[in-house]
Amino acid sequence: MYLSAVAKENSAAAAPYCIPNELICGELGRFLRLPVPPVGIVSQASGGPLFASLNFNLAGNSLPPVNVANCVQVLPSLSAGLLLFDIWVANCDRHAENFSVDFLGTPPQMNIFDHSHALFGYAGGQGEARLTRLRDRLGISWTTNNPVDSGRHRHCLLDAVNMDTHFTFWLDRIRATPDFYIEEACQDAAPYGLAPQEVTAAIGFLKARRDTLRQIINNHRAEFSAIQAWSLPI
Amino acid sequence: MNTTKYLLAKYIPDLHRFEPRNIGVIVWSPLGIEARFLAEYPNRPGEVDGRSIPGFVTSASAYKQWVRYWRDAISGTSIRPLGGGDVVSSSSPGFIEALQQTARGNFVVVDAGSVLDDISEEELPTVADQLFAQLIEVNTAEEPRDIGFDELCDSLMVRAQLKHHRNFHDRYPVRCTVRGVDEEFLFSHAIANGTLERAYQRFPIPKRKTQLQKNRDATAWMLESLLNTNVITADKTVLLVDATPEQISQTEVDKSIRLLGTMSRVVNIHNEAEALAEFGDAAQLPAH
Repeated sequence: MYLSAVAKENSAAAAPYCIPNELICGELGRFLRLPVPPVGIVSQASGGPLFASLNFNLAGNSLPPVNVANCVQVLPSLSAGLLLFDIWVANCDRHAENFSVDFLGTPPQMNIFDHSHALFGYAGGQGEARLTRLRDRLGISWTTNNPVDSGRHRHCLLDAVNMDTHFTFWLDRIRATPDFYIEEACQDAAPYGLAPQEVTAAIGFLKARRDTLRQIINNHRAEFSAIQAWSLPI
Repeated sequence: MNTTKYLLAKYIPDLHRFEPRNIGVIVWSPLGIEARFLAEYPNRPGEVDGRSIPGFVTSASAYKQWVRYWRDAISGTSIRPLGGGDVVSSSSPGFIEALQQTARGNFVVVDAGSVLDDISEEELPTVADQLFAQLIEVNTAEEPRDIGFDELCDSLMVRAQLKHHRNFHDRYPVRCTVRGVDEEFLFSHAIANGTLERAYQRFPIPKRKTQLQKNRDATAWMLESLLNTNVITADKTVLLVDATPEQISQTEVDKSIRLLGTMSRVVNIHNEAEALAEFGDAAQLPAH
């Protein structure tokens, strides 16, 4: 049996950090037990590396965009988990078309993919600077007033998740991520376009946010526009 | 005057060939929205009958998800454009553009035109029905083969040991002379060895009324011809249907089954016990 995968490579113009972003975020997302398909590095015929993610959509037909209101209603914990994970890795490009939910499945099934604009962002040579600037920010709350680090899309779940009931569960999981896991995930991504200081910056960024995510969220409660009553301890 | 526009939902089976097929129509006016999609259950918008999905659709799962997605999108009071920007009210013309932005790969929505007449809110369902009949149904000439029916039928026959009977045949030909003309009819299955001990005819129930009538007329012609020439008897001939209670409650389906039931016995394999009893009895017929 052959299974298909979706493959990507670094693109100087659109996604210069594509492979390291995808690799690190894929590993971290799976560690949290979020429904991120298995990921890895494969070689092109020319020898160049490709990031590969197992294709979960074997039928080969395009899937519809996610109805985020339904998603929050049907999968409240996973919706919160995805939102908090994207804050952790400062994924500024989460929209209704780069995750999927099969609402007709039993149970409904979410699949999460595309982290090419997270962590080091999408501006060549600016990875370390982005991590420094976003250290204490949400990194996903783009509005017309916000600078480029927060991306081109405001996170599609940021205005849809309407309760923080599941936040503690996911904050605890993120906080439980071991140092070695973060360190090795970032070091293993080094050959695919990272300078040594960028690896160090990513490790520091992820560890710091792992430990301060609750505080970062509390400092930006106003951005979670659908949450009327907060229960998350300050 | 209210401008009533309509969009076509299209499915592209092969993105390389790019040969879109119409699968639904969405009628929009500031007064309301009506939509019709192929294979949707009557009166259950957004729910797709897997057996009625057109044969050219290569992923039933994706098809069901898209119909559900479009239904949810048009049932709301507003939509957030996928490309970003402010929420658009469903009564705003911008809603149409937002819907078109949902196009993705095999599934697209295109602006197909305007209705020139002034359409009231009450008339929207009729307009949707007319456009659906005109633009969608007539273009799906081939009725999907009911794979579920075939598989269920086969598995029940296996379970009842009928297929192990020494005189069991698939696609069994029976000949007779009708008004001086030699005819050959094929039964789906039979137990026969010269003498026809049992004849089974599968009767799929298509969603489209015209197709159902066509199937019924062909089957009735076959049974009547064979009965009139004494090639078969009604008690040894069995019409196999897979009809849900909902399908049986439809006038045309009920009428068809009652008509054919005057010429043969009818076994609804949707009722597993009934089917196993029939096939089990036949499996016990002496081999000859």
